[in-house]
Formats: sequence, C-alpha cells, structure tokens
Amino acid sequence: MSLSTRFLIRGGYVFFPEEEALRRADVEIAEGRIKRIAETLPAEANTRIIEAQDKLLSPGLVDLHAHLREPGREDTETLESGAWAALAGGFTTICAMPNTQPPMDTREQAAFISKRSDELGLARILPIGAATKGRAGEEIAEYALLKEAGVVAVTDDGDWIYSAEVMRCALEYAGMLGLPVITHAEEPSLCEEGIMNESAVSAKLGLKVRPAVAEEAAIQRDIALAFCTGSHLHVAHITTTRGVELVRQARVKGIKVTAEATPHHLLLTDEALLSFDANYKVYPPLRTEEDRKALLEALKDGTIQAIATDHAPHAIEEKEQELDLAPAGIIGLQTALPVLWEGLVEPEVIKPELLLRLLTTGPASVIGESVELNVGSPANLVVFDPAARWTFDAESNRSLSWNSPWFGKLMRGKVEHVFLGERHFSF
Amino acid sequence: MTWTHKNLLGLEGLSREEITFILDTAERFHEVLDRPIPLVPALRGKTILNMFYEASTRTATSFAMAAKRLSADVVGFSKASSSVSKGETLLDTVRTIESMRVDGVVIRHSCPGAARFIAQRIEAFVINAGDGAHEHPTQGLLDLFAVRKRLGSFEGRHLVIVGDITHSRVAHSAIYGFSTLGAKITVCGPATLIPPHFKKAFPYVETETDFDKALVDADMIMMLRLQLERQSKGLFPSIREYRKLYCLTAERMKKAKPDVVAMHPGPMNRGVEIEPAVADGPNSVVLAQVRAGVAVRMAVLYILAGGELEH
Repeated sequence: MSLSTRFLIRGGYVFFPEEEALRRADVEIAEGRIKRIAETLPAEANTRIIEAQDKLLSPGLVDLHAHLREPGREDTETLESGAWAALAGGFTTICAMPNTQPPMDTREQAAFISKRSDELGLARILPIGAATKGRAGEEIAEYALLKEAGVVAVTDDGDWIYSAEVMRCALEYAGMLGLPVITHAEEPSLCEEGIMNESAVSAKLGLKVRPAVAEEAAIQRDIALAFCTGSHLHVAHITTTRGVELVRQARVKGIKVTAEATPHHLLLTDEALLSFDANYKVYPPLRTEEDRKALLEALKDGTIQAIATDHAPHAIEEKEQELDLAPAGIIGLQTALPVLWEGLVEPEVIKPELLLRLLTTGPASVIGESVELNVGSPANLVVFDPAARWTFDAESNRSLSWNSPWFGKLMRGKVEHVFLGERHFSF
Repeated sequence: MTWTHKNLLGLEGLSREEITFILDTAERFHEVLDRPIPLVPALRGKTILNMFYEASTRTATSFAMAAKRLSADVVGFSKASSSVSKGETLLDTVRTIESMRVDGVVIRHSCPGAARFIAQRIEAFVINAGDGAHEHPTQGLLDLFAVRKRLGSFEGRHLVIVGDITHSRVAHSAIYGFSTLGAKITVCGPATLIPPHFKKAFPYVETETDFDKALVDADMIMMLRLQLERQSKGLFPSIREYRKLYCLTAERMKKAKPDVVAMHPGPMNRGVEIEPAVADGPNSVVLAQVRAGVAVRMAVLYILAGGELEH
C-alpha cells in the first residue's frame, strides 16, 4: 500500500456505472478523489502514471456474500485476511455473513465488524446480521439495533428458516426498517444428508442428494411471504431453472425479490463431482448444464441482479476428507473476476458491461448502496488486466484457506491496482 | 492380455476383455479351492491390508481368505477396533499405512469415493470393497462368475435387478459388469427406490416398477438386500407391502423361465426379498456366489499385485 497522492491512469477502458458504458479514458486521482476524467489528460508534475492500455478501469466490486469466519474460525479466515483477498480480487466492499461462532446476532457483534473494518482500512466490510437469535430459526434478532451498528441485511444463510411464521415476521420487521431478508433457499427435509445435486451424476455416484425441488419449494414459499408482507426478499446463490423462473415471475408481478448467483454455479456443473473432489462440494450444489444456462439467461434478462462469491473458507484438514464428511463451500473473492472474465466475457457469453454491472451497481442496489465513478467522487477504482497471467497458489493467495477448484491453476486476468480513497494497493 | 490398471475401484470403464480376463483368472483359482491344500505361493511376501470402515462379515472374510490362499500376509482392522473411532481422519490413516509399506489395500467405506480418495494418495494398489452406494466391483465380478458357470455366456441374456436401486452399490457394479459382457438389464423396484434421473445415467437400462412384468422375460434375477431402516424414512410403507410387491416367492418363480438364475448378494432377509424355498432351491446360486467371491478376489489380488502363478 502506498499513500502517493496523485495518479494518472492512462488509456484504459473505463466502466461508467451510471451509463453502464465502457469507454477509453484517462482518469486522474488526487487526494483520494477523482479529479479529472477525459479522453486524454496531460501528465502533471508529481503524478504517478499508470499505463492501462487494454486494461479495464472499474469502480471497486461489491460482494454480497462472504464468510469471513471471524469470530470463531480465525484459523481459516479473519476479517483482515478476507479483506485482503477481496482487494486482490478487485472487491472494495464485501458483506460479512453472520454464521460465525457465535453467530452475529447482536448490535455489539455487528459493531465489532464495522469498527474492525474501519481500523483495517482495506476492503470495506459491511456486516449482515443473523435473521434469528443464534441462527436458531425461532425468534427474530434485534434488527433495529443491528442496523444501528451498520448491518445492511439479515439472513440465517447456511440454513433456510424452516418456520413460515418466523420468516413472515422477519420479512415484516426487516421491511419496516428497509433491510432485505436474504434466504438460503433449500428445504432441508428434502436434503437430508444430501451433498450433491440430484441428477444422472448422483444416480451413478451413489451420493446423497439435495434436489432442485428443495430450492424451488423454498423459493416458492419465500416469494409468497414476500408478496404478503411487501418486504424485500433476496435469494442467495440461486441455482435452478425453476427457481430462476419463480423469481422472474414474481418480479413481473411487482414483488420485491432480488437474486444473486455465484461464479461457481455460473461456470461449473455437477459433472465436476465425477472427480469426487471436495472442492466441488458447495451448498446449494452445482447443478446441471441446463440449470447453468438458465442462470446465464437470468443474468441477461435482469432476473438476477448480482454475482456474489459465497466465499467460504475451510481448513484443508476438513476439506481433504471423504466427500460426505468434507464441509461444503469454496473460497472465491480473489478469483471471481478473473474466472468470470475468462469464462463468460472472453467467449462472449455475456458482455463486459453486464458482468461489471453484476459485480458493482447490481449488488450495491440490493443493499441500498450506490456506486459512482464521477469527477469529485472518492477514489474507489480497480485496474484489471484481462490478459495478465498468474497462478493461484500459496504465494499469490491472500486468503488463509485454499479450498478452491481453481487453486493451483493458471489464471487469466489479474487485478493490478486498487484505489480506495487515499490508499493505493498494487498486486 | 496386459493389465494396465493400478487399482480396482469400480467396474465402470473396464473393457469386456479386462473383465473376462479377471473371470478367466478366477476360474483357475476356483480350481485351487478344490485342492486338498488350497494354497498357492503367488503372493508370498506381499502384505495386504483390509480396512473395513463398515460392518461386513462375508466380504471381509472373503478377502482375508483370498489373500491367505495366495500366501500373502494379511492385516486388517474394522472400524470398531481401530483409531478411526478415536477420530483419526482417513488422510492420516492413509499416511500411517503408507509408512508401514503395504502392497495392497482393500477398503470398505460408507462414503462414495472413499476408495478413490485413498488410491489417489498412496502407492499401494487399492481394491474397492464397497464405497457407499457407489460401487462394489468384486461383488459384480463374483455375480458374473457364478452366472457364467451356469449360463456360459451373457450375450442376449436378460438380467433383472430387484429392490433398492438408489442405495445399491451392488446394482451399480452389476449394471456395468453385465452390460459390458452383453446382457440386457432391467432394474425393478418401487418408484421411491429408483433414482429419478436413472434413465439419464444409464440409458441402456430399462426401469420397471412391476416385478411380475419384469420377471417373465428374465434369465437372471438379482435380489438386492432391503435395508429395513429405509421404512422409517418413508421410502416404503411396510415389510408386508414390500414383500407383496417385490419378494421373490416360489409363486412368482412359476411365472419365470424354468432355468432362471436367482442371485442374492447376502446377507438375505429371508422372507422379505427372497423366500427360503427359492433361496435354497435349484435356481439359486447364492452359495455358489460366496464361493466365487473367494476365487474372484484371489484373481483381483493376484492381477493387481502382478504375482507369478505356478502351475
């Protein structure tokens, strides 16, 4: 990190979030703010020049879904290491999921996250509060006090709120405060001991299943409750064709429902489990190619507003076990942008503008934030080189964990610089 | 032929030649079992480790006996008596074994992929003795062996597998093995015990919920063991109803071809999936299967260990 005061980022493709346009421009940063934007800017004295030809300049990315494991499992991730991994992946705002140990269900715990985020001065960490006390699914938590401490949404992520009555209360109460309720939509009685999608692959491998219908049933109930309460429901890590269709229909009817998809569900299918590699074990599970395509369609038609990492660090000794015993989840903060760019933008599956929207203004709007890149706005910028090659390995990895299907692989596309107010990070 | 696989983790992917090679090799060991001293020195000096993480009497015994008949040293543990119950991870167990330098590992485990997990991490060869509901290749081979003795060949023959298809490694290995050798296959059971995407996984296998329909045309009927705890999960309503729909009774046998071969991998729930009169009757190969198990496992151990067979 350096505190040089003046930068000129020259010749890059700049993503202007309000117009949703990519244009070649020079951007000057001074005293932590965007000073000038123009087609070409002269270099002034005492200015550090960053050549960005063929590179991308975007507002810092926003992640709605990161498990940062502090407090409780600081051996696998801390707020600090998670925030570093975020920066290295181009994320300048990340939302910390509340399934910590103990669960983040009080104002004091949320305040700790907010305070720690300020102290660190890395990626900004926004706490998400537990929807119910102790994540037990029985009584709603103190949303007003949580909000006071910086909480931007509530969820029992990791579990679906089984009681419809409790979920209804959560939506009513959170709605009053303008907080979205995030649902982990998997009906648990359909997923008992299940670890993978129910499909031709599971029929061959003999692995226990978490079928698509578990997600569909859960989304259907939650949408019904969102409709009856008028509150904002956000569907975390949506994965199925029918689930997406339910969200699409609900949105057409004007129900306040938003949804996110993860990079792994957008890029991988359950066929990956033919390897029995626990780095493909995630909840909800990887689905079929048909589901993956439905997710891509939903990105394009606006049914899904955000791509979220579901960054979920686990210790290697936990992950390197029999597939049934290994915990579900993979890390994703540092790799999301490179793998999405290489997997979706390079082959022209989606336009770069759409990807950047799904990683900036899209997620920000879910939690009522805005993203700007204007003269005068505080510097919150990422320089990404889509052609740079690097290996995601022990040396480059910023997370304390390395449970990722991309670990050890050669990556294409790298975040090189992050500007955050007066701070400048290069990677 | 030249054997190229380090391990036997499943019958999926094995060629007709490879399976036939194992069965032919087993044929020679089957004769050894008839000798007054049923012992060959093929694996002298080799050490085989039997790791049984799941209760098993017949498979564990069969593997131990097979290794001993080949003059190998056999060591082993079952879950209850090992440090597994003290919470050691499979990975640590693997490292421990590796440092003790065994030649081959036989593993039975409740998690699909467990045998493969070990095989990827050690130099010794690995034989999957059943990994959850995934595969049980030596069971598939012994089924093939027992039937081949009766029927000669599989080409155009029809195998009907009956029972809990979803949770059956025996069914999976049988599907791969019998289809590779040319048999036609139908799986039969209640809709709750056949995976919904079964046809997509095995497009060449027919599914049928009506046993009476399926059995008419069968040359071989494989009855699967019903795990009685499935009832508490609601997968079938009662033993009484299951028996009515899927038990291989003497009455049903009258509708089948007279020379149909009846198989059961054991242990049998007599009177649930198979009637004693059928299990002990002339169409049954249940005991021949057990005997075939030793010969087939000798063959697999021998082939993977690369041993020399003396005549």
